[in-house]
Formats: sequence, structure tokens, C-alpha cells
Amino acid sequence: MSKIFYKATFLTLYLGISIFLFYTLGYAEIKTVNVIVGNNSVGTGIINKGTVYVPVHSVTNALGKSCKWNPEKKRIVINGKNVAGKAIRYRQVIYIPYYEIANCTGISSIYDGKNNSVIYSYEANASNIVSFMGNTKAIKTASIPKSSNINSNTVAVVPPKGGFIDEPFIPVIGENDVFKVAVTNVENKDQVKAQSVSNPSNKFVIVHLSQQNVSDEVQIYTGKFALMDNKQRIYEYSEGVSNFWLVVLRPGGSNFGYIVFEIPKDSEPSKLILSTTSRPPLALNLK
Amino acid sequence: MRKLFTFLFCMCMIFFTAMPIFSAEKVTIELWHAMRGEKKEVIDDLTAKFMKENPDIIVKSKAISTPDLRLYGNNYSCLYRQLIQGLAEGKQPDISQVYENWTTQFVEINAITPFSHFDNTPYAMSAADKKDFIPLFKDACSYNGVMWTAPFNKSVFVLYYNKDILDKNGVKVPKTWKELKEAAIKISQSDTYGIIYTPVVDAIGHLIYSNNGAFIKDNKPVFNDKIGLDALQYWTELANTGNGKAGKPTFNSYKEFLDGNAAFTIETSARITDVKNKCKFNYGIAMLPSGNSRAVQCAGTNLAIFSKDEAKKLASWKLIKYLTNTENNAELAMKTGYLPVRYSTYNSPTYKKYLEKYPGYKVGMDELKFGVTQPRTAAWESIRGLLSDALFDAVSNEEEPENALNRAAEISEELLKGVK
Repeated sequence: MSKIFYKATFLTLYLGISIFLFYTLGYAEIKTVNVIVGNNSVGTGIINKGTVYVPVHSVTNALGKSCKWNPEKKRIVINGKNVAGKAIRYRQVIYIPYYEIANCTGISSIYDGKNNSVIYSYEANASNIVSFMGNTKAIKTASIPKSSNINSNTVAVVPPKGGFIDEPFIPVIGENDVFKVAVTNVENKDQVKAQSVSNPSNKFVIVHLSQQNVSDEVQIYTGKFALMDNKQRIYEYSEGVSNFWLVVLRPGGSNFGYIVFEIPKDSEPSKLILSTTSRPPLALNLK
Repeated sequence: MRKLFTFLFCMCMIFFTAMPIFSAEKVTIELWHAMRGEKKEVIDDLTAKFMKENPDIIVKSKAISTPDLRLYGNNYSCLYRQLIQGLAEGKQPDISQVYENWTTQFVEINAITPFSHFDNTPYAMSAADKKDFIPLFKDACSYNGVMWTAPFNKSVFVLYYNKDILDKNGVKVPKTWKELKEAAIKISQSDTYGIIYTPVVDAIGHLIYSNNGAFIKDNKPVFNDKIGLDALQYWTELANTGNGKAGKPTFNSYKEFLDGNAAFTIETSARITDVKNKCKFNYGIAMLPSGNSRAVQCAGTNLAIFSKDEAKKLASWKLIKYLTNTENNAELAMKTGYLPVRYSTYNSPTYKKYLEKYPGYKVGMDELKFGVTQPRTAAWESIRGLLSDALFDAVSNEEEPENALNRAAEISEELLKGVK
């Protein structure tokens, strides 16, 4: 009995200490930096494994540049350009290396190690550049659009196309012996192609997807997609505002695009269902 | 009495035995199309006439129309979806309207019958008959020198203008895209819309093709080159001039033009009859402006044979020949505004007389020598959607034209690789 008691105590202590160390030491490795756009502090960046990261939404918002998720390339897109570097998520905020914003926008950026700051400004001041971990990143010296009013006290915020991403959507994949379907992004919007929802209490749900023929046979009819919400209601997609054109798929061939559903604002997409004539429905969990 | 019964019994036996033989001679074929209104009536009249002249063939004509534009897309989207589903389930029609990029897929899966199939029958298409089709249309219906479809309801894009607005503003009918832009800007200063248009891929195509550009080359997108970017910037600049009145993109452009809200719009020549009937102001029809060169995109569908049964194939072939012969092609053209698809139709005294009465119809024919067909690749319909999105995003200032085009090109490249 006493042996069991000692073993249980030891296990509890071991787990407790492990969890404590994980949350304290793990986070302790993260150092923070100030992120400044023009004269304004717009947030806090982090240094992870020798790279300075900035919160992508805060910075692009302050710079008046668009920021969204490219589901096909699985990349963050700033100002219409794919971010080459890898994004990280820390406490539900998406961070990218600070110089990636300069690469996509042409706006100057420097990491000032002395003052522990990343600065986005009209022109780079070479004297401020401090080598970080022996690696100074290339800096572009294009100017910020005047409409951004970076030097004034108020920072103009231009809403980016499609709104900010809360976080990159983690692709969902479903497969049977004929089709492999991947949902690469799900967005909520009030308007699509200048068309509003038919009822103010509705919203558009845009599902970006790809469909591949994984069988050995030509698939002439590739089926119809429907959406199930969290209240088990099924919706057809609005073909008139979608861009997913049925095509004959030969073995290995794939098709992709986006389909738009109109659902009540108080419901959430739960499953994407593909119905074909030859197989049971294929359902992908979107939660 | 007994002899009478025996006689009647024998007669009945002969009658019932012979009946299937007589009825077997009748062939029923199904024609699917997406025409409505007056255009549907013309199809119905022509098929009724055909059945009268061919009592052994019954034509069941099915007009496919959308129950809800936003939910199911337009009539042609519905037709395409039903065709694809029908083919998968073996419930396809015998004849249907098809676009060139649909045909590419149908040829690859052996879903349709080439017209050479009838070469060794008494119903073969003669060399003179083949030569009579306007080459632009015939080429669009041919793959590797074989005709798979017959040109049917064809049209080209033309420039419609409101003469009253032009006169009021002292503006001449523009001949180049530059002149159109200048005219639209001038008119927008008088608080009237310059040009009003549907923000879809065709608007970019007008400028790309008339400046010697292309959408796709060697199965790769090239529409994001300088010519493509200039085309997109053309519409973006117009959208941003004169408080947005120089060039207004709207999905309701045709109706707004008919309401007299704009000086110009671009629509297909198939609208001519409708404009003639509905326009309450003085209007004019002109050739599309030119760029470095002149090129005009074609629109409209062709007829294809989907039958699997030989008797139905032959009956379908007879109907296609009938619908596209000189006389009936002239009737379709005069009643609907579609272009003649044959030289003999265009040169027929009936059609010539009609052109004298309504010279606006001649504009489309004059443009034919500059006609181009949009890409035939199976992925084209999706790429059309991507480019339409790019145009919409650029003209509504949601995205820089260059970025919008590059994004569309990136995805198109993947589509061109994937759709096979």
C-alpha cells in the first residue's frame, strides 16, 4: 500500500514539476521587442531562436497594407505578395520575421538592438542598425504612402481586402477511394462580389477547397458540396457567387476554387459534405 | 361465322405483329438548350418545322433555365451541370448547346460524335457545305481538323452608345480605346456615366486581344504581362475618374444602359434585337474600339451530338444540319440578333434586305474578320472566374491591379496543371 502511495506521489510531483518547467522555462526563452511604426508603438514583437518576429496584423494594419491567408500556397499574403518566411503562433497571435513586411511592402524596417525595437519608417537610418546575432537583414528604402500618415499622431488604418486573418486555417482533408478533398480556408463575410446577404441576419461562409481524383478512373461528375452547420442544418452553395466550376477529372487530376454558402449569423459551419452518385457522402469536419 | 372469326383473328395478328415494325421507324431525340423568351420560341418553331418535314423523327426540346441566378448560376451553368451529371448517369441528351471549352472535355472522354462519323452515309456534309461556314466559327468547332460541333447561336462584342448623350456632350463615336477613355471622362464631367460595363473577364479580354496579347500561351497563364496589366489598369483608372462616373462596373450594366444612365456599354451583338425593342432613346452600334490592332472576342455556343444509339445519332445529325442550313440560320439570325454562321446566309437576299432595314446588325458581321475565340482549355471556366475576381477587386480598389493579376495567374497555373 505504502509503495503505491509513494509511486503516486512521485508521479504527481514529476508531472507537476514538468508542467511548471514547461510553462516557465519555455516562455522564459521568449524575449520581447517594441514594434514602432513611424512614431507610434503598435505592439510587441518576440525574439525566437535568433529571429525577430513582429505581430503581423498590428503592423500591416498600422502601415495600411493588406494581410490575408493564401490557402493554395499556404502562405500569409501581405500587400498581395506571399510571405516567404515561416509564421509562428504565440498566445493566439501570428508573428512573422520583421523583415518580411519590408520585403512585401517596400517600406523600410530596421531592428534597433540598442533600444530593443523594430522600427518601420520612411527611411532607414543606417546608424540605428545594429547587427543582431551577427546577421543584419537587407533593408529597402521605399517610402510609406503618404495616405498612411505615419508621422502624425493618428495612424490611418485601411481595412485590408478580406479582413485580417485571426489565424491561419489549418487545412482539413477528407478522402474516400475516389476523391480527396482539402478545405484550405474558411472565411466569413457580409458581401461577396458586391452582393450582400439576402437576409441581414445571415452571413456568407466562403470555403476554399481542392478536389482530387485519387481513383484509376475518369470521374465525369465530381459531385455537389453542401454545408452542415452546428445545428445540423444543410445548405446548398450559391453557385452564382462561387468560383468552383465542375470539370471532368482524369486520374490524378485536381480542381480547386471557392464555394459560398449563406447561413444564419448565429450558426457556425460544422461539416462540408460531398455527395456523389456512386459513393456515400464524404464529410469533412470544419470545427 | 366461324370463317369470319378466323379472318378477323388473322387480321388482328397481322396488325399487332406489324405495328412494332412501323413504330420502330420513329426515332425520338432530345435537344437541350439554354434559350429563353423569343430565342426559345425560334428553337421551338424550327424543331416543329423539322418534325413536319421528317415525320420519322420526334424532337423533344428541353429549355434549361435557372430557378435562382445566385443559387444556381445562369442558364448555361445549369445546362453544363446537367450535361455533366447526365453523362455520368447515362442520361445525357442527344443534342446540346456547348461552349468550346466544354467541348474539349467532351472530346477527351468520347462523349460526343465527330461529324466525320457520317462521311460514308448519304447524309455526309459536302465539301461545299463545310466551306460555307464562316472560318472563325468552323475553326472553333474543330479539333485536329475534324468538326465536332456546328456553330449555332454566335455573336461578337460590340459597342452600344446613347446618341443623345454623345450629341449633348459634343462627343464623337470613339474608334480606339484611348478615344473611348477620353470620351467617357468628358461625359462623366456632365454628371452622366461615361461607360458602364459588367466587371467580368471579357472586359479585360477586349483590351488584351486588341493589343496583340493573350490569356494563355503554351498552357501557361500570360495575362499578367504588361498588356494584361495595362488592360486592367484601363478599367481601374476609369473607375477612379470623375467620382467613379467615367467607368462604372456593375452587374446590372445592360439594364442601366437601357435606362439611359450611361453613354456607352459593351455587350454582345445578340442584344441588338432586344436593344431595338426596348431602347427609348436614340442609340447606335459601333465596332469595338481598337488598340495596337483590332480584335474582337466571340461569344455563343455550338451544337454537339451526345447520342450513343446509331439511329439517334443519325436523327440528331439531320436536325443539326437542318437548324444550321442557310434558310433556318437566316431565320434564327433575323429573329434573335445572333450572327449568320454561313456565308450563304449572310449573302442571301432575305438577310441582305434585313440588313438594309436594320444596319446595326451589320456591325457584328463587319467585326468577324477580327474575331478571336477565348481559350478552349477545360480549366478556362475557373480561370474566367479568377480573372473576373481580379478585375472586380482592382476596379473596386480592394487590391492593386498588379497584385490582383499575379494572384490570379498563380492559381491559374496550378489549375492548368491540375485539371486533366
